[in-house]
Amino acid sequence: MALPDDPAERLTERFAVDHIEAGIAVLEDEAGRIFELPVRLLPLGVEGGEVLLVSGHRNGRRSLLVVRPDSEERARRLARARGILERLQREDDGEDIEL
Amino acid sequence: MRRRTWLLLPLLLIVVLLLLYQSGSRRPFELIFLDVGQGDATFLRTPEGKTALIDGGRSGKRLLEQLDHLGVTGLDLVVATHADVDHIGGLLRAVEAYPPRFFMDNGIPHTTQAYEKLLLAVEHSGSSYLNASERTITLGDARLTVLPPPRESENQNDNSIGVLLRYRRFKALLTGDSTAKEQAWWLEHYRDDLAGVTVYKAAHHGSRTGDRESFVGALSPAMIVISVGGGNSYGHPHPEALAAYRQVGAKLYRTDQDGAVTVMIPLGGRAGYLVRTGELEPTAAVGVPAVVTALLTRLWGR
Repeated sequence: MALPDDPAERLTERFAVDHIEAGIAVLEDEAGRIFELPVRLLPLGVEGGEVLLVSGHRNGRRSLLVVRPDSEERARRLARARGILERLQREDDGEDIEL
Repeated sequence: MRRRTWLLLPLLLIVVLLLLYQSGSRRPFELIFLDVGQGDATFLRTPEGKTALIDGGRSGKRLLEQLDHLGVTGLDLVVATHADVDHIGGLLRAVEAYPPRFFMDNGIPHTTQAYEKLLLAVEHSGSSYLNASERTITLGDARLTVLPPPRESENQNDNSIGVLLRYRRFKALLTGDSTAKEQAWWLEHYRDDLAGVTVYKAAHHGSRTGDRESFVGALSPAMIVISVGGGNSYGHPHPEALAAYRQVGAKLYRTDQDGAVTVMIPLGGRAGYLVRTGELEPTAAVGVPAVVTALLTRLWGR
């Protein structure tokens, strides 16, 4: 979806920071696509595991974007993953395994 | 008379080898560093046909093509050393295609969909989840010792699972994207176990934050494999890591230059090991020439 021209209808999208490596942030968009961006383009102090909220609109040939950490979405995603992990971990008795 | 004796020696050697070959398992133990571009995926198969996949690279398509090519029909164990996408991205399709009997990860949740989808796939597959605690997994004649992450933070790399593989006298160490901090912790707790590994998979694709001479020197590996993509954006492998590898005198392989790196151990380890690079081959009996090569390699150095 293209950015709207009307600032009141600004488009928002979230990106998860998979990890940061050698000045490059590896990001995952909402469709699960992976892409890279120089970390210098992102908010100061961004770390792997953060979720970024990008909102913006278009003004003629200029796109105006704001990127900020979305701590609430981050907490929601972590809680969901932790829930699945806890269900899985319940069955493990920690013993050695023989296959 | 003396000349005739010398002529008979090679013949005798071949007969002994053939006898050993017939008496031993025809299927070698295989440890294969797959070529998944920038990422890690290591597959192992024992002579009994037990299989494990440690990490899965970024692309499920690329991973499955290679597993299919190897004639894989199932996985006994899948380990995700940590949740970065260049290690787990391909695992979703592998878990769906070959639901493993056991699945292990570092237990540190991540915010990506790739991670959540993988956990859900594991749950739906009916695989048994294993915590990355200090434990041993016996896979046929091979033993995998889990080196647990220190869990002093929530950082994924600092909490990569370490896997120490033992098959007879052969030892291999895989440590995901472990950093110098985690490696120092392992050395403090497992120094004796880690000494004298045969094959070491370079930590973190040979990054600057990974291997130091102190750690690689303590392992003293005969061979190091760097799983890395050509022309990657991160400058892997870093010159400092390469210098540490050279310092220990290990034979160095790189998946960006050599393609997949296959380590085969025929005859239950009695003839050392063989290394093949490039094209993958479905499992097959190791031919006598290869056994002779392995034996000679063992007799005349690393």
